Amino acid sequence: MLEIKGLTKRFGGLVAIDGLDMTINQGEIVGIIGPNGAGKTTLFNLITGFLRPTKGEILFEKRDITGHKPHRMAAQGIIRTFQATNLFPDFTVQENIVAACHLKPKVGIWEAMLHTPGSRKKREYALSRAEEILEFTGLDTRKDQPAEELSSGWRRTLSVAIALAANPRLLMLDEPVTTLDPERVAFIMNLVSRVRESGVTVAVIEHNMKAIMDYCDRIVVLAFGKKIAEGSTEEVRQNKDVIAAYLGV
Amino acid sequence: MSRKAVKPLSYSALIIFLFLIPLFVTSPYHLHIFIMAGIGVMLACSLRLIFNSGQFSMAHGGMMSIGAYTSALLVMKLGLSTWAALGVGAAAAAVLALLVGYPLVRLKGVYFALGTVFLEEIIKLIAQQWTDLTGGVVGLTGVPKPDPIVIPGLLNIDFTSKVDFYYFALVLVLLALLILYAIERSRINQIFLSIKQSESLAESVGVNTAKFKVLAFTMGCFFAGLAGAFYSQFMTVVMPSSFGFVYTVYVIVYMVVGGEKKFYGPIIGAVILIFLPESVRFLKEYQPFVFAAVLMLVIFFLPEGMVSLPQRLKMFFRERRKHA
Amino acid sequence: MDSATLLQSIVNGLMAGCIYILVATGLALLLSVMGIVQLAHGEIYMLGGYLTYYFCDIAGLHYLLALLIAMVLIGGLGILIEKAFFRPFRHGDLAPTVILSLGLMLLLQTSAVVTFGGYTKVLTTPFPGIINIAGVILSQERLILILITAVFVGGLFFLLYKTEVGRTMRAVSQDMNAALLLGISVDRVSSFAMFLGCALAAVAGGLMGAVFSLSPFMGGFALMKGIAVIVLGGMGSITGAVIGGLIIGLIDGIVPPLLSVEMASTIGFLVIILILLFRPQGIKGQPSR
Repeated sequence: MLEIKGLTKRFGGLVAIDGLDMTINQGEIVGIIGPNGAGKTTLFNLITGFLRPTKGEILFEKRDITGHKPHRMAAQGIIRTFQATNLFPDFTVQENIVAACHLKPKVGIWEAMLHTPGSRKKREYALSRAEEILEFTGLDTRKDQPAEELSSGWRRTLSVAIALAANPRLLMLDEPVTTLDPERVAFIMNLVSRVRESGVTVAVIEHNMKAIMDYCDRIVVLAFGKKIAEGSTEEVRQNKDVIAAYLGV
Repeated sequence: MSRKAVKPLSYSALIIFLFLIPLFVTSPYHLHIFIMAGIGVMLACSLRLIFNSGQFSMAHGGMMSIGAYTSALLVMKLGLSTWAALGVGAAAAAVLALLVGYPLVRLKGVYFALGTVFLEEIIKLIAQQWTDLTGGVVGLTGVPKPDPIVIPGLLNIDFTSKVDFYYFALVLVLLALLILYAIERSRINQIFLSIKQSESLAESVGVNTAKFKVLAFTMGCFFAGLAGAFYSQFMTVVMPSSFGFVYTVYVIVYMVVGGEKKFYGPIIGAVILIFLPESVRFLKEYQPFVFAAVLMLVIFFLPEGMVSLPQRLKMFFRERRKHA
Repeated sequence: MDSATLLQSIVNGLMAGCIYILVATGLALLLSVMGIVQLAHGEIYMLGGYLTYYFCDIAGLHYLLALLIAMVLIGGLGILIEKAFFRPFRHGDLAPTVILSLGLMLLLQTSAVVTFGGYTKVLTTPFPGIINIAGVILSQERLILILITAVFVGGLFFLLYKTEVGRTMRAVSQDMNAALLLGISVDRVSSFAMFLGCALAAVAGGLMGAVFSLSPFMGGFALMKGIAVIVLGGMGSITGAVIGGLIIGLIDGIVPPLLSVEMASTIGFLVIILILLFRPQGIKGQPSR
């Protein structure tokens, strides 16, 4: 589904990603791990358009999407979450999700300003989609709470909910469960499984090894901007290079 | 009376009251202040629209200039009807905003603000230099008043008295507020607010933030141009110094002092801050002190503006009651 | 234009550039280290001029001493202003700082009008006399103005790049939160930056008063030039402010004899627009994406 060829990103003298080749296959949950500074978030930023690559290609379903702006990536169905929880703090939980429904339904500028019956129908559709997502993620009881008042566990859940509202085909989660307690981790990772079952491909960056091992089909290991290993959890766990990279940190 | 009916009823009462003002307020000088307040309201509310998308624009004064000069020149040099010129003046400001918008919105935060200050200065300079077109530093004088509205046997408004201008301004401002309010309640405003709270998050869910920021800027500047065009027909003089940097800052002040979070905040701010200097007119050169003092007080004690006053007072008294 | 007039114009341009540089570097410093837009910066400049005038013409001190005293006093005023008003709003929402600085601008300007009267004054020239170089007559005071500016700007650069204090200021300007985490006292750095910024503006005002004139309203002009310079040079970049100031100053010096004073400003802005078209972040600014 997603192919990365020779991806390189340089910041002045620093090479963050170095000639990376990688694929993400349709329908899988792939985990991306690696020591701090390995370039995992940079990789996400490059794929989703928040950074422009210095060199290399990114192909989504055989189409070249290298260097497109983030909103165009999102329109293709590539939706990401952020490592530092990113929400609309003044909006309520429900408003957050409705705002994220921007791509579905698409509302035209004129019809919105003129408050046409069509726009009203679309608004109802957005509200019903939001309702579905609220129930799916367990946020329905908190839907009128201002987002900034949520606990950290529910904030992470909300970020996932926001990403879901944007109608993803490839969902890219950046450390969705790092530092959360095991119950919350299981809850969110379960959501992720169910999302995959509904046909969405998932890529997850995580430091929580249990979450990765329990829920991912395949793992890619990055270190110093390069891919140093990939394979099933067993293969990766026993890989000497991987162990060395982590111990060396 | 049902609760739902109270709001529209009180607004209607307010509007009727506004239409009746010239019956009690007869001095042309006072009507002039009311008209200026109306312009202030239109400017502050339209600026708020731009701020809703998270952009700190200081170009409003410059856009007023564009509207004023365009409208005045179209009437004086091309003989266009003043009503059409009003619209074209506003459109001119909007077009300019659209043109400079895309490069401008790439700037972040402070830098966007400074870029708009800069834009304003350029407009002023061009107005000062292009003497053939704009009359240079002296500006345009003898700008025609609005074309008379004549309905044979019924109306003959020739805009010789301030009362005519008062109604003109009132209708214009009410129409502008209507449009602005429609935008406020639409999905577009929600998109603006989402960009304001987190541009990256908005982008990640598919919002073309650049496009919408330019849209907000353009729409806001349209109304600034409209205000400028009205002004040119009202004051009949347009000079480069008429709407400068300081004027822009005043508009920002109206908005912030009134309160940015609510739609009616800038309305309150503009009304208070335009009538206030008048009431302390006797202080003469010490007048700006009062203005400055009000500003500083609001920033420090009521950062959310006057609209938060009832809420703040409630909390204040509740605290006192607790400790009593 | 003959070579004598050309040289004269260049010197005039350099001189104007010096004033702009002093104002703009102060503004850029405040912008980058504190993240505030200081609209009253022009008024600080104006006060510097008036204070220099007071110490020089009225108290009878030597001009340079008066300039230094004014600089220190205005710098101190800056620290007070920062502590009293701007501290809570650093690197945050812009609106409060704009309003505050507007209020400050009104306050200072009105105080000046009320105290000094609303008309222009001229300082008695501190360095009468002319120097003759290659048949060109240049007034000594203008050359000294350029010299003084060079000293101050050089000192600023030394401070920023060769001292510990300067390093911390640059750290705070890049990332205030990271600097806090590193244990840097952001409060002290801000106060110091404010002192420097206001001091530079005060010097500019004092120099301006000596070579030209003073008026309670001279701040507006300085602010606009300062903003134009930092837009050109790249907001928040001190080096950019110097380069930008020189460019705009030279334009303001060379164009008026050739065309007109108004054309100078216009050409200045056109140059800025042109450069911004190719480099929207300014000459030495950081790209936004």
